[in-house]
Amino acid sequence: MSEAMVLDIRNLRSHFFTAKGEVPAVDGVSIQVPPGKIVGIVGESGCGKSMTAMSVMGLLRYPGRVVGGNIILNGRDITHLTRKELSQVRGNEISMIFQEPMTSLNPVYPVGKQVREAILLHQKVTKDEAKERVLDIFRAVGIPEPEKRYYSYPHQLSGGLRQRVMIGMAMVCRPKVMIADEPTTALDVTIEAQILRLMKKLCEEQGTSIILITHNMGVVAEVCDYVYVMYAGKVMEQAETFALFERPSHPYTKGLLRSIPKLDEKAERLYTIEGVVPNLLHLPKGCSFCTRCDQAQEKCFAKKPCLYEAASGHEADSHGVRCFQYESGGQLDE
Amino acid sequence: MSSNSGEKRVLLEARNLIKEFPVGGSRRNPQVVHAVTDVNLKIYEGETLALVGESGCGKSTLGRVLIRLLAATAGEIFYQGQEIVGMGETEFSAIRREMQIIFQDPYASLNPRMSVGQIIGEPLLTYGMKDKKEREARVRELMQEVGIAQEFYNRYPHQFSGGQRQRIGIARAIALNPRLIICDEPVSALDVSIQSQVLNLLKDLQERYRLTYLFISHDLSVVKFIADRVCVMFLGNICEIGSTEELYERPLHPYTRFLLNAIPKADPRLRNQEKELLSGEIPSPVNPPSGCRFHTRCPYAKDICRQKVPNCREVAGRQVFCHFPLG
Amino acid sequence: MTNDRERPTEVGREEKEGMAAVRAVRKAEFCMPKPEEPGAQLGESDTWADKLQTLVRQNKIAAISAVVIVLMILAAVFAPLVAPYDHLAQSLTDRLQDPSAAHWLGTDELGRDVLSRIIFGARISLTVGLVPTLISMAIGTILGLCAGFYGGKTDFIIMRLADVMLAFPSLLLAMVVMYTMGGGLINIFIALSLVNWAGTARIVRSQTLSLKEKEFVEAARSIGVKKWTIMFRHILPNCLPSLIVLFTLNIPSAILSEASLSFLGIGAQPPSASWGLMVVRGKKYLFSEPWLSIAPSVAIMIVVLAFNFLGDGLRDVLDPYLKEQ
Repeated sequence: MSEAMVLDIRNLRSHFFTAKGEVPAVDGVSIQVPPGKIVGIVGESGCGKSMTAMSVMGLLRYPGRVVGGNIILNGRDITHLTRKELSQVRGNEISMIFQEPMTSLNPVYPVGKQVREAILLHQKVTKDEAKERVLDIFRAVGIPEPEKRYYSYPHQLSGGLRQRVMIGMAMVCRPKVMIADEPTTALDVTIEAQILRLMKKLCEEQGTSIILITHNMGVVAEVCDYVYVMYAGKVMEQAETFALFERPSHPYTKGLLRSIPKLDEKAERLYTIEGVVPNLLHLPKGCSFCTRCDQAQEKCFAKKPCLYEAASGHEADSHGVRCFQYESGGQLDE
Repeated sequence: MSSNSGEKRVLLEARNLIKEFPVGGSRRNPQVVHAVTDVNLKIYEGETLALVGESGCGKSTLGRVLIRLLAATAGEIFYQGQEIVGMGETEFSAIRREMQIIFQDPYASLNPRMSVGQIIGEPLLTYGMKDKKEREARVRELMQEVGIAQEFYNRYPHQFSGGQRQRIGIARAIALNPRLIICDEPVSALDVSIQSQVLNLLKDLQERYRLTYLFISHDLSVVKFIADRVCVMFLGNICEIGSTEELYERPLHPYTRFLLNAIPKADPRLRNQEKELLSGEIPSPVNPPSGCRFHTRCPYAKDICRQKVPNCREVAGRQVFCHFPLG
Repeated sequence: MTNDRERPTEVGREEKEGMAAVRAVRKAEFCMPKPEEPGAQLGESDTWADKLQTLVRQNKIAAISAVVIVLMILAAVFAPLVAPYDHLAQSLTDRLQDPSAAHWLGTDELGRDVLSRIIFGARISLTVGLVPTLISMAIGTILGLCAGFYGGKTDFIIMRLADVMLAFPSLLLAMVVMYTMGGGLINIFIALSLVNWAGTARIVRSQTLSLKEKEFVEAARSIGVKKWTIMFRHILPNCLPSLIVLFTLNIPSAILSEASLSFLGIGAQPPSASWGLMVVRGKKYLFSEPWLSIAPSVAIMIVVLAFNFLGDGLRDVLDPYLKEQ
């Protein structure tokens, strides 16, 4: 099945080597991205979702390092590429957009020129042709008055427009995969809705696969096809979006979904997951969620659970849960 | 709530409140940001009034002006019938202790060089609790109240997670037994699982101490949970004020409706519903549009919207500032 | 059943009840931040002790410099015990001797032991490094705090005054003061204190400006904390890292200024063993007995370098902000 995947992350492990010890920020994460689909990675801060993205892009810097696993992009293992080979892949086949577009754009150049640079870097076209391409892209990502915006500096644009520029820049070479790290977190709801709609459109029209990293369950429900729920460096649950929201199986996923205030009901109190995210340096010996789990058994404190199959009869796709409750379903990973 | 609001006592009232910030320009032609323009607002005792809107709509500024952390440019504020904008500093200090604020950023709102005990004890010290033992006892009591273990009395903020820091900030705010607390986006910097803990805590405290909250937020689902009444703001103006239930059920102002539409719902079955989205961006508060400030983004705008500022209308017991309120 | 559980809290483990107890204990263990491991999450700021540890581990030169400075201070304090001879004892029969086993750095034109004089000279250099720097930084800190905090006219007046001070070459200004008041150690203190406050004031002001916008200052205001209390309880302690760095970087410049003033004859007066004075006295014998000037010059160099290296190291760990400037 992995043949058909655009991006296949297998058992990725990235550690941080700090003064206080080795921190397993990404601890055996496997993610499959089918062509033309949006795959969501959700989790709280520090769960390793951004680190996974950085590892895939080869952007991890000291003291972080990929220590194991494979990243297979279009059937080619890019885990051990040299810096030069990697920069060919980056931008061309895989690209990334960040939460705060202001910091990713150079404040002293007009945005149009920055996008043009990206085109000239990867394609053999003249400057005028490149500019035409930029204007096309600006139109495609819904920037009003593209000719005028071409010469605007980043600070002259609103947050929403800057994010559109970033998406445009990421789409320049029509990459197979785009990783979006909290692309709408810094934006207002009305703008967020526009950007999500735009990403979905690009995905459908250009066949680009998107990995959407977010902490917002609403965003996931809105656009993603598949979801991976991460906690303390591990995937806790993975499923097709409808299946996940209909039948959340891991206690953590259930807790997360229950603790969000709902628009359509008036609750007196919110459900809470007690405690805080554990320090990655001092993870519990067993399941990393056991200290906060209200269904934890003795086993959970002693042994680390694997990913088990939890698909019920009518679910077509696999539904993996890292919890002993589903042990009978059979192991999915090592 | 609004139906019997006539009997409820008004705790804080703003009349024609204006706040402008100078942003340069030339001396002859000074430019100002119109952060809050001509706001009339009542906060009733014991309620939670939510102030919602997108970034730059002036909700945080309004919150700060109401408790005199920022000086109002014009207008009046009445706290229990007493005008406080023009009040002298010494006279105001008695009122100040009754109005506190909880901040958004749990990292920036605690002094990194003070211990938890010092941070929570500071308001007590400021209002004359000089005795060290007495103060420590009260601080420990407050820590218990907000769910911070007492043995952390001498810890420093960086040793805590975001949610715990926010609890410390809450303890500091309730130390003086205030009546009104401005909650300025108190949970938007927190993770989902921590967010619900803090929201529950706020609700518990409100019950126990009969607090009044002005809850500033951009997150409409959180507001739905915590607020009794909601006030929607756009670009320094109030669009609509009404009880939470009614406002979510049947928004009167077009902006409210688009805001509600835009929230991503945590239910994938709703995703294919064709929903109207707002186009365009938020206009600049330096040169706000004439007439109704929302008219540049409003699909229902007519000529009168471009020319005349809408007055307050009462529709079904709710206030709405729109020429053509939705039915 | 599970063999490798560390500590049995499962005394009355009767199915569920017991499990709840175990869970509660485990929860308590993991959910609270522990005192011995600050930072419940990654990437949080460390304590002072942690920072010093990083300094020692990452910056060997700074660590060595710190050792040199400590040795120097010890030598200065215990000079009478350390020095082989009395630094003022003249012996005209032994004048201008080459370095030897008896006099490691030779003797000067009055037959005094150069090594002893350098050791005693450390007293002057270090006092001149520390005292005026402390005074000038205290002045600068208070003025900078006021300028940044109050703004407006206060800010304008203080900062223009600072600009004027910075516009003069500081040595020239110190010379003017010394000429009017005469030489001597006390006057050096006064001159250097008056001259060097402006730099500190600038840095403290800029930090105050950014700190006073922080929410914790706003929180203090909302409580009704008085302005002076806010300045000294909330803003000043947060300037401390930069001030410490600035302190270590200002010391060598004060030492250099003293040496320069003494070299010019308006600083320390003979027969006191000031390094600057020794350099100028040795000037006459530069070609015949070069060690007379070289030895005190090297001493100055070592102290100044050590403080600068230490300051740079401290800046890297304490205050990344200052580094960017």
